[in-house]
Amino acid sequence: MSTTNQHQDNQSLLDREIKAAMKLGVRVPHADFTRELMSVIAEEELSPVASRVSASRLPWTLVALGVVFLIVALLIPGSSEASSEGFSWSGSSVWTIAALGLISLLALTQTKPRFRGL
Amino acid sequence: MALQTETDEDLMRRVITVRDQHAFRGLVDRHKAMGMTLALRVLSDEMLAEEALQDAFLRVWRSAHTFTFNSSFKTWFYRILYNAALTKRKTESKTDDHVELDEHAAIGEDTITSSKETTQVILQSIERLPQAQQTVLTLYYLQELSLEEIGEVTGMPNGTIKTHLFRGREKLRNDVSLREYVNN
Repeated sequence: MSTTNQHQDNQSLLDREIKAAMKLGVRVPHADFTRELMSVIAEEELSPVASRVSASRLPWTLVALGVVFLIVALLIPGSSEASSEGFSWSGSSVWTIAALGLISLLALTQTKPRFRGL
Repeated sequence: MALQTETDEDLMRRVITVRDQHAFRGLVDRHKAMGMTLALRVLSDEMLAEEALQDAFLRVWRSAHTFTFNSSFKTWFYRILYNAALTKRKTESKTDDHVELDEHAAIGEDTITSSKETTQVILQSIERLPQAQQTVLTLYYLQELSLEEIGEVTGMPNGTIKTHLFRGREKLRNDVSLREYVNN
């Protein structure tokens, strides 16, 4: 066999070996990969409007609303009193509770486990 | 028609026209392993590679209408995946910690005694190649893309791809001492 032919044979054998090794080295994602992905897609299809709301934008909207409500609560003079007639709701306490509610909602959205990679 | 007999492009047509989740699932099942392997070549981290793969498939679903059928689905998908992996690597501020193959660390010729060992040596050597060479070799040997298709996926010029392919192959050859292996 000539040197050139031998070189070509070696070359193609090397290529075959690399190809075989590559195939053996194929890695698969975790078992639930497809199921998780399809559930995200199914969720998106069911609520396309909700999915368009950016996950990072929503919490900031809540923060902004919470801050506005707190400012309003501070501006309205409080007049809640614990009397024999019971607790009376003032404008200030309603705004404060609304602000706290929004902040709590923010905390919930932040801690909710999300699909990996999103 | 059964999914197995349909081409990637047929499935994409169904995804685009009727948002067929079953067809999309078929595409995911077909390409997730090869995709994961490619993402791992870029990211060298299993978790990040999975995230890039998920990201890429979601982009395919959301942007299916942008697939023009001018290229194969495989090329289009790998381009999305490659870009997703590069973006992830950038955001994770992960520096390319691959080291150039040390000539002195090459496996001695006499250590190659069986095909199984050769396979192991090649796999270990691939891991040690620079990221660009790993990517090009993976696209060429595993995904079986042409040089032009690799160019479409990576955006690298043809000459650069050839250089990466040549250097990567030469380094692997040095490691496994294949010439001696064939002679023996």
